[in-house]
Order: sequence, then C-alpha cells, then structure tokens
Amino acid sequence: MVEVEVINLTKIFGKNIVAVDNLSVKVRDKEFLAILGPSGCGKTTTLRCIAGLETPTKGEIYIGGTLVNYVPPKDRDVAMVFQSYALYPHMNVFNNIAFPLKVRYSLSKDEIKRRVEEVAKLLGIEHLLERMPKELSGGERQRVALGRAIIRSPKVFLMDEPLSNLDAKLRVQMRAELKRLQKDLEITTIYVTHDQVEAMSMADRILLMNKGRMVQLGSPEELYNHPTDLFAAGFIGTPPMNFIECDLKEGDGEFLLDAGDFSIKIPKDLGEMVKERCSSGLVLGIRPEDVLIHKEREAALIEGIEGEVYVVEPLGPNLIVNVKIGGYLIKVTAPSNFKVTMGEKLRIAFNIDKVHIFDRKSGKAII
Amino acid sequence: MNIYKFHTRKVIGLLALYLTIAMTLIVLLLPVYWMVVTSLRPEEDIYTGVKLIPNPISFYNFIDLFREINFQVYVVNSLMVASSATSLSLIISIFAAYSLARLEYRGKEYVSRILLFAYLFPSMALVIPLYMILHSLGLIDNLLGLILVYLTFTTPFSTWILRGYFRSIPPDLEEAAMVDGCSRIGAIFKVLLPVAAPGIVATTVFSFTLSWNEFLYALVIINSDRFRTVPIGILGLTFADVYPWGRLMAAGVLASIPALIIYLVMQRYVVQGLAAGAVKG
Amino acid sequence: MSFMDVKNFMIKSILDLWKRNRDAITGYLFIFPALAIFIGFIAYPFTYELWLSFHEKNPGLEAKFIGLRNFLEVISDPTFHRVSINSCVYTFTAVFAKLLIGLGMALLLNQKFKARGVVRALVLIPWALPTYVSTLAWRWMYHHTLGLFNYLLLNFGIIRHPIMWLGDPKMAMASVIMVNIWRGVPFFALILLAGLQTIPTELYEAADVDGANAWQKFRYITLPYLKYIMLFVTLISTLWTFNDFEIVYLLTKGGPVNATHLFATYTYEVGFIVLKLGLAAAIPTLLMPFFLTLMVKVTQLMER
Repeated sequence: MVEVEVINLTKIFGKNIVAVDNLSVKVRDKEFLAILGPSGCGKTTTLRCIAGLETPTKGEIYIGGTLVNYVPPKDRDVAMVFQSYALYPHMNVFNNIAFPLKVRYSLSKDEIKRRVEEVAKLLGIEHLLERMPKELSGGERQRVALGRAIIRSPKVFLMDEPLSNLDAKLRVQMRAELKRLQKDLEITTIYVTHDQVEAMSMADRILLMNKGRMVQLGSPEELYNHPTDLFAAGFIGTPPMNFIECDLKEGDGEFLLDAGDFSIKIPKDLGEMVKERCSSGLVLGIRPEDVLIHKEREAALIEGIEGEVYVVEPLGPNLIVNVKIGGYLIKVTAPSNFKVTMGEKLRIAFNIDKVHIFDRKSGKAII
Repeated sequence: MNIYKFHTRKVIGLLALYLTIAMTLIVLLLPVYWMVVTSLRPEEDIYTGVKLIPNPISFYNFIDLFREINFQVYVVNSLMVASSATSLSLIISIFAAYSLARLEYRGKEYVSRILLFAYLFPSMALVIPLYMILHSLGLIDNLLGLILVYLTFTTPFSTWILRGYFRSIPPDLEEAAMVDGCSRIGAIFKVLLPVAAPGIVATTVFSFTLSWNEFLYALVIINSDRFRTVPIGILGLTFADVYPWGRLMAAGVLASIPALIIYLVMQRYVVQGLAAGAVKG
Repeated sequence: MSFMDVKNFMIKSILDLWKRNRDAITGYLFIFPALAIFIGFIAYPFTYELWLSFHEKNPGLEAKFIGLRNFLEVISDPTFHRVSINSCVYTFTAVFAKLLIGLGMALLLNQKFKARGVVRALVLIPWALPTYVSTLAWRWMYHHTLGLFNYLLLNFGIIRHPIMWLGDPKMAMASVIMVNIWRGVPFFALILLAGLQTIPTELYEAADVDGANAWQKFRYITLPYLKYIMLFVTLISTLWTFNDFEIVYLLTKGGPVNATHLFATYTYEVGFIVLKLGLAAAIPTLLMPFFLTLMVKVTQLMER
C-alpha cells in the first residue's frame, strides 16, 4: 500500500520566490495522479520535493506512511523520468537501464542481464541494448528512461513531462502505452504535465495548479464538468470554454443575465440560486459543444441570440464556428456537414443544463 | 564593377591575407627555429658565426646535458613536483568546483570571489613571506615545499575552470543518478566526472604546464643542485657570464618538448577550456 | 540525566542537524580544502608580509619594529624612482601593443581560410613554451655578435654597426618589452578571437546590405561587442605585466644601470641578494592598493 501524502507543502526560493504555496494532496495507492498547470505554476517543484531533489521550506511529505522530508532521494525508493530523459551519455542503453540495480544491490551479472532484458522486451527496445544514447531517436531515448525507472519496481513513479519532447504523433501513441503500462505495473504514479489533453486522457485524478496553489483536485470528468473556478474552467477543454461577463437582472418574475449587447433568459429556480449566492459581477461559462446553433430560417423555432459568423475552423470530424454576438466571439462546435459561410447570420442558444456561472471577482463557481 | 575587377580584388585580398598570416607565423616561431638550429650545432661551430641552417648537425649538446650535467635529475624533479601539484590540486579543485557549481549555502558568492582573488594575487607580494614560512617549517630546499607553494596557483585556477565546466553540464544527470540510488559522491564519480572528462583533461594540462614552467618560486626555494627543477637547472648551466649557448638551446628544446606535446595533443580542449573560462566566466 | 543520556542526545541532535542541512554542510565540506589553501598560503602569508614591511629583518636576526622607516626609505630611493618609471613604461607599452596586435591577429584568425585550425594552434606556441626557454632563445637572438637580429640587419644593410640590444641602456627597455609582447600576444589573440566568434554574422551581413565599409563595421559592430572582453583582458594583463619577473631577470637582471629594473626584480634583489627582508616586503605593500584595485575590477568583470 503506497500512498504519497503532501501536507501544507511550501517551497520558497531565495528570499521571496514562492514556487509552491501550502499544497496538500493525498495520492492513493496505485493511482495515476496528474499534476497539471501552466509553466511556472509549481508542479515540477512539487514533484522534485517528493523526489527529494528539493527540500521543502515548510510542510511534510510522506511516502508509504513514512516522513521523508530529510531522507535523501536514494533512500526514498522512488523512480523518476526526467523531461530531458537524463540518460547517462557515457553508458550504453544496457548499462543505463542496469545502473539502478548495480548501484543499489549486489546482484550477479546474470541476474542483472536477465532483468534488463526483461524490461527491454516489455518496452520493445531489446535491439538497442548496445547502442549509446546519442545514437537513439527521441522516442527510443524515452523508452530507455522508462526502462531505467521500472527496473527497480519502486514504490512511486515520478514523471516530469516525459512526453513533451516527442513529436505529436509519437506523443499520442506513447500516452496510451504509458497508461497501459502503469495499470499493468500497478505502481503509484505522479505525472507532471502542462498539456491538459494528456492529463485528461491518462490520469485517474488531476491536481490542477496555478501560481503555486492548488486550484482543483478531482477526476478528469469532475474537472471537466464541474470546474470550481474560472481558471480551471478555462484551462481544461479544447476548444476552451466561452466566457461572457454579465450581471443578474430581475424583472417581472423573470431572471436575465445581462451582457450588455444581449441578454440570456434563465429559469426561475436557477435565477433564485444565483441571486442568493452572488448578485453582481458574474461570468457565464459555456463550452463550445454545449452551444446550440441554428440557421436564421430555423430561428423562429427557438429563442436564441442573434449573431454573425466571424470565421469557421474545420477540424475533421466537426467544425468550430466562431460567432460574433455583441462584443464577444463565441466558439461553437458543429457537425462537419453543417453548411455555413463567413458573414452569415444565425442564432445560438445555450444549453441551460451545462451553463457555469462564476463570481467575477473571486473567480469561484457558483453554479 | 565588372566581374574581372571583382575577381582580382578577391585574389589580391586573399593574397594579402595569406601573406600577413605567413609573416605573423614567421615572427612568432622565429625564436623556436633559432633555438632548434643552435641546439644542433656543436659548440665550437656556434662561435664561428651565424648559420641559418646547422651544418654539420650534431646531437652532442643534447648528449652532453645528460653526461656532464645531471639534466635527468632536473627532469625527474620537475616531473615529481608538477605531477604531485597537479594531482593534489585536481582532487581539491574537483570538490571545490562541485561545491560552487551545484550546492547552495550561505556565503557562496564570497567564496567564489575569494578563489578568484587567490588566483590573481601578485606573486611579488607572496614570495618573501612564503619563503620565510617554509623556512620556519624546514621546507626550504625541499621539493615538498615547492609542491605546497605551487598549490597556491594551480588550485584556484583549476577550480575556476572546472566550475565553469560543471555548470555547463545539466544537473539532470546527477539527479537521475541520485534518484537511481547513488549518494552525492557516488553520483559525482559515476556520472559527473566521466561526462566532464574533457574539462578535467584541460585542467590537468593547464596545471601541469603551469607547474612545469614555474620559475620564481623554484629559484627562491630550491638551492641544492639535486633538487633543482628544470628551469633553474638550465639556469645553472651558466656560470659567471659564460653562456654555453649550444647546451642552453638544447636544454631549452628538451624542456619544451613535454609542454609542447601535451599542448598540441590537447590543443582542442585547451582552447575550449580557456575560452569557456574567460568568455563565459 | 545520566552521562549516557546527554551523549545520546548530542549524537541525535548532530545527526538531525546533518539530515536537515545535508546539502549546505556538504557544500562547506567540499570547499574547505580549497579555502584552507587560500587561508594558509595566501591570506596568512600576505598578512605576514604586511607585518614584515614595518620591521627590519635580516636572515638569522630577530625582526625589529621600525614603523614607517622602510616606506620612507623606499620612497626616497632614486633606484626605486627609476624602477617605478621603468615598470610603468614597460607595462603600459607592452599591454597597449599586445592589445592592438592581439586584436589584429584575432581579426585575422576569424577569417575563413584553409588550415585555419593549424595556424590557430601554431599561434599559441609562444604562450605554451616555458617562459624561461623562450626568453633564453631571445637573449641568444639579441647577442651582439652571434645573434640572429644583428646578423640579419647587418647583412641586409639596414644597420652599419651591431646593436647592443641588451647592453645599451637606451635599447634595453625596448628589447625587453618586445619579448613580453611576443610572449603575451597569443593570450590576447585567443581571448579576443573567442569574443569575436560570439558576434552573430547576421549583423555584418545586415551592415553590408546597408552599405557600411570595413572600418564602419569594425567601429559600430565589432568594437561594442568586444568592449567587455577587451577591458577584461587588458586589466588582467596589466596586473600580470606589472608583476613580470622572469623575462627581465633572464635578459638583463635589471641592468644595464637599472635601465630595465622592474618592481618584481627589484624586490627580489632587495630581499634575496641584499637580504633586507623588511625593506623588500615594503615594496609590494606600497603597491598593493593599486594591485587590489585591479584585482577587484577584474573580479567584477568576470562575474558579469
């Protein structure tokens, strides 16, 4: 049972560079946790603290129930895959993978050979064992780095953006392989990335960070459907969520969200809830796939907001139609057979069940 | 302008370039040439007049150095002193450079400034007191005393160069080694040093050359003939105002050979190391 | 509390301190030997040197405190005046020449031509050779009857009588400076060349398109880029050249008639030949403020 627990972790560099601010998270046994966030948000620093490459300024780190704050990396029984792979340039692939074994245990040469070959086979690199790192392609190096990490069967895997140096096609392929590998090996894994697609597709849970702080912790589905604040809502999802600044207006028992150039009618119970929690300064959020789009002539059938097509981005299986309403450019996903041209007038409506409302000042989600 | 004028301009420019380079090389290497020529002429022949090409050629000067004077003793002394000073300072400076390049602690900038200061310190101000200190320790006329004194310039210099070199190697590699199971020292010896090999070679070359060529301290500290290093041994070939030029030049050639060989072989690293230390600081 | 308790407590606290500050302690530990050398072989001797300069000391006798007498003696000594002038002339002429010639050579070596690598390697030979070896070779070249220079100059009819390169007080300084220049130019050339190579070639290409000539390109692109490196190499060479000993010692020992005596050779003479150690110590002490300024400036430059 290996859980990794971080309690009130704070890391300050120099006098006043706060890289991580009071972070607490508990990673479950065998879980794949992704730490997601923009560059500089503190995710790599957190990972390095867990690895023992940085010492926390405040807070505690527990691995498998043991306090490891002052335990050097070699005694924490973690394995790390670096963004640059950090393969030892003066050793061939075999020795790179064998290195952790040679350094820690006194195993016989045959035993080492057996284990290295086993791992190499698992990763499909047994034909590369004699080569030197500089002779390998990016993808091959990445697998060697992985091999070096899994050969010890450590308690925890730590991965620092291992796929970011690969080309797009290889990245997609490796995502699936890594996820499968983790499930097969059943080792608790903490994976740092700035790519939300990666995090969403691979992780059991995602820890979203920004500016050193935790923004939200939850499953991909939770983060996608129930973001707790503006940052989370805008960071997750491609194409990103649309945001409209508006105020709650009440009149004749009806509730409206007034965005200046246009208004959106909302149901009474929703309106009451919003009024209760916060009445001024709101931001409406709606994902492109939750915006309903109809051509002008069908407009009479539903109530919607009138807008003009600004530009269309064809994306293979569907289109992204950028619709200009008032001063806003709303992105809407539509099926690829939806015929529409630039400048055309049409109407859009929002799926009320999927609307998110945020407090403009605090950024927190109200609905 | 037409294409012929352009072409001629280019050719003239190229000629001028090659000419300048040739003249520069001649000026720079003239003394070396002169030294070699003289060393190959027998002593009597030298005093008959200047010859630009030795004729007859004789190796008598070289042989004489070992037969009549104990040149081999000087060589051995220099070798011992230079290699000891170099290896000692290498060990000390590897750790010092690592400390400056990789570890964080209070007062670190002051330390690196101190080391730079140490290297730049004018020897004029140190000769006298160092002599007196060695004297009180009984290390005058003693090769160990010389080795210790040489550490004063080999160590700061090596540390400076190695620090620059270590900084250019990403810390990922040692971090990976530490996560894989090495202690810090293990990571240094198993990963950092092998990767830093060219820098270490350059440093060794520099230190060795500096020690091998050192003159002032050797002059002041060593008195008896049997402990003389090569520079002072060569000086000892002259007595009163008599300079046996044949033998002197032959000794010069011999003294230059190790330095030149090492230099020419390691030249690529030397240039790199010097540039890295100076330009990138 | 028993003794065992106290001991265990102390061991535990030390271990705890170590674990918490592992990296910092390692840092101090690793740098300690190098620092020890500095303190033992530089800081301490230097302090001793300062102390000595206020004493009268002859070998075998006790040191006697005499206050500022040494300094007064040095300052009023006409030989010292001569030495000071010599040192300034020597240093400034040599460094200036080394800078100009070194820059020229660097520009030359920056051009693309065949066997550039070989030429670059050959250029460094004067610097790679032991100083005493090349100095002796130069002394031989300066020989008034059998030396190469007089031979060539007489043969080509450029002079009618042999020049006493080292024997004539008027020529000696020039001869000595020439050797220093010869020896030091490769260092300048190499460092300036390294600097030249950091200048992006696109800048020159853009200047070409804009219509600049060679001199303009040099003045507006090359020089600004090289500013710091030139300053650095000039300062450090000034410091070293002021302390030059070997070349003068082996060529003229400071003569003829003190025409080439420099600070370093004079200090050596006073300390190890005349054996007035206190007096000899006073000379570097007097010069230290100047040297320290140079050292500080160089250190600052290196840290940029």
